[in-house]
Amino acid sequence: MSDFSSRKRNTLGLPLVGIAVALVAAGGLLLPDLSEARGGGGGGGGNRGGGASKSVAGANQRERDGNANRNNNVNRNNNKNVNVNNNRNTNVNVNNRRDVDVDIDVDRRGCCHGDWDIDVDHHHGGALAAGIVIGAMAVTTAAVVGSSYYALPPGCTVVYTYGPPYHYCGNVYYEQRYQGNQVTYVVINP
Amino acid sequence: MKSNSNSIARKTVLAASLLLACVSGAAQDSPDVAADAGSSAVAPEAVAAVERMQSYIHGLKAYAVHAETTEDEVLPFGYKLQGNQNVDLLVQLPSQLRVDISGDDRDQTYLLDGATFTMHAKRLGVYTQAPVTATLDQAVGKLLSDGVEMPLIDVIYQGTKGTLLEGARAGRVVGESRIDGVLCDHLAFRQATIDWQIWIAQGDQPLPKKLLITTRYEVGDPQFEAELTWDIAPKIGGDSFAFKAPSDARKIPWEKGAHSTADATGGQP
Repeated sequence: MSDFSSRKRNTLGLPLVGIAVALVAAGGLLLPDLSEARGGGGGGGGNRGGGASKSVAGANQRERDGNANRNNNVNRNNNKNVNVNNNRNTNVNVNNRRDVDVDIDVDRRGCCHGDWDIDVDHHHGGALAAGIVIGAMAVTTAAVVGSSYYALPPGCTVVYTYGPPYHYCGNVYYEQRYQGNQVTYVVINP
Repeated sequence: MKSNSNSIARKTVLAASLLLACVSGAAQDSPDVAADAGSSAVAPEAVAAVERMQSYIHGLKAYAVHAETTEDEVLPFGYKLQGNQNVDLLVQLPSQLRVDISGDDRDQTYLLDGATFTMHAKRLGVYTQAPVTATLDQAVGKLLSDGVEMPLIDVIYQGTKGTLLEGARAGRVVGESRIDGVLCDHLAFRQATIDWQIWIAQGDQPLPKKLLITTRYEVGDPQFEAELTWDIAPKIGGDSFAFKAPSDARKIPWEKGAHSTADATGGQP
């Protein structure tokens, strides 16, 4: 069950166990449509979780960073372990089971095939990640300011400002920023 | 290493030696000690082949590389998808660089004109810039520590600054292999989080022709692979390294210092 508590967002507040059971039951239906499931697409070439390291020098850098500060290393490279612990506490004490969502709609930009509801969690992967999508829950999420994403949810409008514009999506404001060499959307408090 | 025999026995011995070297390295508690212990497990002829390549690239004043790259992405249930990219790299020492990437889910340009570093995501219509008052080797080191892991940064890095062997705990020359018609030495290395193989041309132009990186401790052992075509006398135009922002492109902030830890998609509306 620890995988569930590592998720950052919320579904309908279904009990965790219920979701797990549903996942298992629906296992045969959960196979992602592999025809189009590339994720993120922010525009960079960095190293996402679940992806391949793209350079030896980059891996060396990460390993070096890890040696310099082992705590950092854990946070950066071993997201799975650390997030599980951190978020479990949050989950129970603060958010009242609102931290369950694992689904990510992957939509390759500018391509020809329209929307693909393949649900991929790049950072946590695993069998559970794909499941919750089934049932297409409409969800209201308490987005945490400062959290960042590779893509916006659907239905956003652009809010023009004196500085960089905001993307306003269901009560949440995002600002586009580069993190490393990835274009991301960071939740802000305008 | 001029052997043509890639027998099973030979490969078994290779695997065993790589494994043993790493087990002995992993047995150490301190990463530093482990790295030290492991460095001796890199075979001298493998080190020699890499150094030969490095010193040759060091001697180039300008070069262009075209690469076809593939990278695995691991989906839930362990499905692996392979993404394709075309990468064009143009380098002019001491301080200029251009990387153009086009691929399945990204078109991106990186520019270093000696004064400014620019990243431009064409499909998204955004770019970011930062001043760089450094030579290429300093700049590349800085970019790596800022989390910018450009494709082919290995080529630039070893061509300017450092060695790829810094993290290698074990390494061997596997044998010979022909890549794109060129006879190459095939080398295999293992370090803490990745295994990697490189094919370096034999003869008087010891350039890397192929790179393969296997990421360990990720489900499915995803791989990144690049086949490289070199031009050591590239044509360089006056505006090769200049960035002109398209009229509809927007400059956005750049959070340096770390790899992105973003999730894939924002919360549902």
